[in-house]
Amino acid sequence: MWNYEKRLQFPVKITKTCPKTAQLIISQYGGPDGELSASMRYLSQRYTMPVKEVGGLLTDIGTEELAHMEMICAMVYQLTRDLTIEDAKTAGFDAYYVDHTKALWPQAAAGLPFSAMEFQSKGDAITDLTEDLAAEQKARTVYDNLLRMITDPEVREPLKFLRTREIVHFQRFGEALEKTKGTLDSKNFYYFNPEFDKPSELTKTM
Amino acid sequence: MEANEALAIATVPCQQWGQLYEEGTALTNGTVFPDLNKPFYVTDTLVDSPVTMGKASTSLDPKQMEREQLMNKINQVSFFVNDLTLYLDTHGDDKEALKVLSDKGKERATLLDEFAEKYYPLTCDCIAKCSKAGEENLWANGPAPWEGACI
Repeated sequence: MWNYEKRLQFPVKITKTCPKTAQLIISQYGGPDGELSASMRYLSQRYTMPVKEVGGLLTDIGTEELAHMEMICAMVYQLTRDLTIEDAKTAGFDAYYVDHTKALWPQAAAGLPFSAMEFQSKGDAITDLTEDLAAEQKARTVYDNLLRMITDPEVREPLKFLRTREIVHFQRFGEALEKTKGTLDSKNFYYFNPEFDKPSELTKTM
Repeated sequence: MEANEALAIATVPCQQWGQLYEEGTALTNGTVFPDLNKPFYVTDTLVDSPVTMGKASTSLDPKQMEREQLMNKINQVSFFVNDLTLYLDTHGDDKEALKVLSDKGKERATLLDEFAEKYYPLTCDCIAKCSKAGEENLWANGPAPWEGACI
């Protein structure tokens, strides 16, 4: 069960229309390393996680990613709220405009639609946590790339906030992997799949 | 919990409890922990004018400024609660962290109630705290969060 809280995690107040910037930032909504992908990845992986605290962490980070998705959408919305047809034609927003007008739709910067193919839920705690570590780094790289291109401070401040969150989440997933390793035999972490082969033995050691 | 270094598997050192930012700095930086604040220096020269978080625009009327100040305080305290919750997910027995989380959690509850009473409820649990709860549909009140500065 989720409850809505009527505020953004970090304030987004953008006063200048810029469809070009919106078209870049939308990648963090529906792109391969976007916040929607992140949330769905963690909220899908959590059910079969053998270590209870790791399932809890995936729930909390998956929830926070939804708040990040809302921030990104707010940024795209505010950057295009006062869009004129001339803006759309000159700033490269024309193709998006034809299909979606000014509505939000999850896609990558290059126009590819959001797809569950972009993330994994593999059913092996080590595999999934390694994917999560990589996912946080990929998202950080996207924020680095956006920060290189975007100069408006009203857009940069929330992007910098989101970038730091990727680093904090990486650290937490690393600690979650250490916790998971702590329940396994360090002589061979791969002796069995902790989510499939011996769930009962694992629960005893927790 | 200590990191278990072994061949053929990733290892990340576990964070030790340390110094914390104060609330405003924590939100601006995106973490309550100075140890985890690793900014992207290469683009700092691109920024033409620094933006202070929560700085109200001068054109706002005093009532809206007051509301935004309280909202900003809620954002700051809530962020502290968020970030400490994640820390405690992997450091469940850290007494110092538990104490800070409990204090900030109480402060957040008080601030949410104050906002609900003065302006509008931010969560459905706050509705009951409003004196007009039985007379008006308060949940429909207030701007959408994504409207930002141009309400």
